[in-house]
Amino acid sequence: MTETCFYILLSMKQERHGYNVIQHVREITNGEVIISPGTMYGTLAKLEGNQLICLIKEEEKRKTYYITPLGEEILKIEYMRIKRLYQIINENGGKWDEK
Amino acid sequence: MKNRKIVKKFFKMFEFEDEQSFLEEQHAIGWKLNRLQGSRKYEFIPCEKEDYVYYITYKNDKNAEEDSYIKLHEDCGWEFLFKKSRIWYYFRKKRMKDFKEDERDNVRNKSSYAREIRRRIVLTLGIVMAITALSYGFGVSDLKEAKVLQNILELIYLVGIAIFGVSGVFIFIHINHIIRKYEGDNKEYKIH
Repeated sequence: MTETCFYILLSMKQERHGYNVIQHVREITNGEVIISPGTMYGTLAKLEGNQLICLIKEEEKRKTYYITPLGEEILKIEYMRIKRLYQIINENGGKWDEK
Repeated sequence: MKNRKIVKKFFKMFEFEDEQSFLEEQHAIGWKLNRLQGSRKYEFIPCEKEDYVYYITYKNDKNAEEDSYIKLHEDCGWEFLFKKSRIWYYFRKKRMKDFKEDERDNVRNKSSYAREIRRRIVLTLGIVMAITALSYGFGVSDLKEAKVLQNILELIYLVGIAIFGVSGVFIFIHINHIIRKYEGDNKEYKIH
């Protein structure tokens, strides 16, 4: 899972359509991660195809999605992995933010 | 003042960033893109001299709905212009101060397009090889009465197929190299 994909899946813990997700990711990453509409469209199609998100409604050509239980599970696994990485880095002298 | 201008310009397969720059330069001097005639005749009409960003994006997902694809771009401020060759979508928007290059996914476009070309090469090679095998078995080898002619035809046939096959493999390797290069250019951090 790419970083972009992770943020998109995380954003789907609330019902959102593509543009909402782009805005949300920009906001939670303080403008560090900007997702282009092309990337967003492709990623949403992949996540839906893998049943990690599901289509809730379509209004004015905007598709709104929500995370599925499988998507939640994948998100949790990713969270545990990142947490472990963070711990290992901290235990091995990688506290750059404190220097 | 002229009410339209036609510029003939040819861009190679992966030069759509140059094409974007060309369209932006034209817009900056007061000519905005109106339409494309064929694949190399650009028709411009007069406009304000403004700093616009052009975005040529690749989409070849036949199952995906085009309307929602365009709508998502419009939500992000892009004005849809037209489609070229059913796979290239042309957009533009005024360049704002906070515009970031990541709003256009040029690297993803190149990588996806290269993958599509690789798929077509493999498909074409497969079809040609299958037709060759069939026609070689049923066609040329039937000319039993004209032995010399048969040998010449078989030789020409085999040389032609060999050239085609070797060229195909070379192009395939080249495209693979392009895919690796563009995917290497993609700075996106992979979680795994």
